[in-house]
Amino acid sequence: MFILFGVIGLLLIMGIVIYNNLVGARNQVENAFGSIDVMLKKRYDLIPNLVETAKAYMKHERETLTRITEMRTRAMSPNISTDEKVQLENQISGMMKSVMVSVENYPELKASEQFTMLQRSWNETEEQISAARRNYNASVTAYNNAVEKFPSNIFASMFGHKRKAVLEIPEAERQNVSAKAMFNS
Amino acid sequence: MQSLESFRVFYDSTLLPVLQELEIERKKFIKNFLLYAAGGFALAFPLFAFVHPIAGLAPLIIACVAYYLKFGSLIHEKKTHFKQEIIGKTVAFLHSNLSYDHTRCIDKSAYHLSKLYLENISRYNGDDLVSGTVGKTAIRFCELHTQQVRKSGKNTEVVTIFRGLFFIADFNKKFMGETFVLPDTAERTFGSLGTFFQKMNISRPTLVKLEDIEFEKAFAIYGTDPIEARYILSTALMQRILEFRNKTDKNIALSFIDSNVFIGIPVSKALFEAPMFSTLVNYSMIAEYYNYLTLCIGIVEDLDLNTRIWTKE
Repeated sequence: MFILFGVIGLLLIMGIVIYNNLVGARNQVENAFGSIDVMLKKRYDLIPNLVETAKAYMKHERETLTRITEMRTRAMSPNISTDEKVQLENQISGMMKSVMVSVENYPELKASEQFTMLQRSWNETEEQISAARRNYNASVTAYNNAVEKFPSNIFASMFGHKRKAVLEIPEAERQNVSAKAMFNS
Repeated sequence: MQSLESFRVFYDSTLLPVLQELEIERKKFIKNFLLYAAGGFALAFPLFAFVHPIAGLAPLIIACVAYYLKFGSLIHEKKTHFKQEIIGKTVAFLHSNLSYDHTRCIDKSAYHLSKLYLENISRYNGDDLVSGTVGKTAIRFCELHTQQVRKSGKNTEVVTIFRGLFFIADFNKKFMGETFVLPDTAERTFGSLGTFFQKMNISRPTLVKLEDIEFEKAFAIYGTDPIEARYILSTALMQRILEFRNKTDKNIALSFIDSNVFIGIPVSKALFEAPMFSTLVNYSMIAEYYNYLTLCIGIVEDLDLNTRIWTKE
C-alpha cells in the first residue's frame, strides 16, 4: 500500500515538475520575443535622426532614405502581421547597410561628429538585435526540446504545447556587423 | 607587433651584451656559493662523524647565512637588473606605449572584481606589471600567484588558487551586467550530466547556452543577462576566443565586468626571472619570455579590441 502511494506521489511530483518546466520554457520564449521588440524600438528611435542627418549631405540616396522612413512607419503600425514585420525589418537593415557604405562618397558626412555617433549607435543596436534574436532562438530550442523529448512530450501534447519556429538569422547578421569596413575604408 | 625574427636581431644586438655581462656576475656568485658550501661541508664532516649528526648541520647553516648576508642583496640587485634591462627592454621593443614595473602587480581589488576565481585567498603575490595602451585599448597584465591556506587540526595546507598571467583590458562594447567564460570541465567529464551540474552552480549567474558547438565544448558561459552575454560574445568573438585558447593551450578563463575584460592564463612556473643555477645566455629562455609577453599584448589584436565601431570610444 505504502509503495503504491509512494509511486503515485513520485509520479505526481514528476508530472508537476515537467509541467512547470514546460510553462517556464514557453514563458521564456515569450520573454525573449519581447526583448527583440525592445531592441527594435531602440532602432526605430534612431532611424529618424540618422535619416535626417544623412539627407542633408547625401544627394543620390534621398529616395532610399525616404523609403527607409516609410518602412519604419509601416513596421511600427499595430495592424501588421509578424511575418510582414520581420520582412520589413530585414529590408530596413539591408537598405541601411547600403546607405552606410555610401557614406564613403560623402567626406563631409563622414567627418560629421553627430553622424559618426549615430552610426556607432546604429551598429550597437544592430548587434543588440542580433543578440536578442540569438537569445530568442536559444529559448525556442530549449522549449522545443521540452516539447519533443520523452517524457515531457506526453504533457506537451496533453496541454497543447506545440513546437515553435526559430527565427532565420540573415546571413549578414551571422557575420556580425561589418561596419568596421565602413570606418576603415 | 614585432616578429620573432626581428626579436632575434634585437636579442643579438641589445640583450645579448647585457646577458653576457650578467652571466659573468652569475658565475662569480656560483663560484662563491660553491666555496662557502665546501667550507661548510669541510667543517660539518668531522662534527657529523665524531660529535653528533645534528651538530654537523650547524656549519652548513652558518655557511648559508654567511653567504646570504654577503651576497643576498647583490644577487637581488642583479636579478632586478635582469628584469629592468632584459624584460623592460623587451616590453619597450614590443610596444612603445607600454611600461614595465617589475615590483608592481595588478591590485587585489581588480582580481576580486574579475570574479574569475571565487575561492577565498590568504596570500596574494605578483610582480612584472605591464601597462599602457595598445591602439585605442588600455591594457595591463602581470604575473600573479594567489593561494589559500587551509588548516585542519595541526595540518596546514597551502593551495594555489591561481598562478599565471592575469590580464585586464578595456572592452570595446558597453555593458552593465557580468558575463563569465570559464573552462568547461564538467561537461567535458560528465557530458550532458555536466550541464546539469553547471545549472546547479549557485556561485555563478545563469548558465547561457550558446550556438557555437566548439565554443560550448570548451567553455561554460554564465551571465547575469543572457542577451548581454550574446551581445558581448558575438559569433566572431567566440571564434577569436577559441583560437586564443588553442594558441595558449591553457585552461584560460574570461570575465566581462564593468566594461572590462579579465583573462586568467594559468602558467605553472615563475616567469620573467633570472635563473641562478643555469646560464643566462640562453636565447630559448628569453624567447619564451618574449612569447608570453606577445601572447598578452597580442590579446588586443586576437580579440579585436581596437575595433571601436560601437558607442564606446
